[in-house]
Amino acid sequence: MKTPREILFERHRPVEPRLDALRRKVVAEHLGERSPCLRRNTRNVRAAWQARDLLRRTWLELVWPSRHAWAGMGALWLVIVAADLHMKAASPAVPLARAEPGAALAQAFAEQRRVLAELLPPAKPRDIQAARPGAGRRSEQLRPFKAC
Amino acid sequence: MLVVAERDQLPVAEARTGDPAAWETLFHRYQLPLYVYVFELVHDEQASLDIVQETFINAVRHIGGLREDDKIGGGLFGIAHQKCVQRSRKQTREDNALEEVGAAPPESEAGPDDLLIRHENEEAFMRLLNELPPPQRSVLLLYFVEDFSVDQIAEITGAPAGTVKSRLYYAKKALRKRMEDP
Repeated sequence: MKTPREILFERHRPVEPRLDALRRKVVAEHLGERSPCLRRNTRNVRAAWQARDLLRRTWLELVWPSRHAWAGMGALWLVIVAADLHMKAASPAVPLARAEPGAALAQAFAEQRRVLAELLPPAKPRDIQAARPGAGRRSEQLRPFKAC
Repeated sequence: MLVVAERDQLPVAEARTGDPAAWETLFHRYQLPLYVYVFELVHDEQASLDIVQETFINAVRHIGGLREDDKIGGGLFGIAHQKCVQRSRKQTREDNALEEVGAAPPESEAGPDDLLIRHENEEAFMRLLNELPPPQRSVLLLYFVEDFSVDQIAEITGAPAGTVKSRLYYAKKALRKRMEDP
């Protein structure tokens, strides 16, 4: 007495050498050293493992031994951030003044110009012309011709 | 005596990394069951070998899409089943007449090995198996060859679990009836 599985397998047992050859062929062609599929798989898996290993080592060597200190520092930072947010929310004038530094600067600059304009008398056009080094007729500026 | 490695001992994780030795083990484990399944559906030795080869190549390419390691067998049979369906579509339309059987089958606790066949009845068993319509034969082969559950067979064949259950029930019933009344 045999089970259906045994009957089926026994009937097809003679084809096993061909299946072995087929299997070796697939492994050689698609999983050999030069197989792009294998290279891609290996590279991806290796990169994933390296990233995981780095994370694990960082956690075990850097964070876990001094976990209380890290937790305390984290809590301190949270308190600082909370206090900062609270202070900002309490004084709305400070952010308003900081909000437009360009406008305040322009206003101060205009004020300075106005003060300077009041202190210094305006320059006369004739003085300006006299002050220029090359003033006067162009012909008077010509130098005498020199023969070689 | 058939020696089959346990599914959970298969090196699927190593195969995912592209380890050729792991793939050798996997292919060696499934080459004959796959061939039996494919051959009993297509009845052509060369075509069956081609389908097994294509199944292996597809498995290497798409191992990343396998969600659970213990579903490697179902994945391989699923690929092979699709190849058989593609081939049969080219040749002829599948006979789905028995899909319309109405009554829901009763639950069965029996395993694939509960049907024991005498040596003198082996030829009759094979003949009767081949007389079954392809959808029933496919379900019955998956049940006999790998002892897949109804849900696994449904995943492999892409049919609803209820349909698989119905096909399995009526296929076993027909086989028993014909074996008892030759």
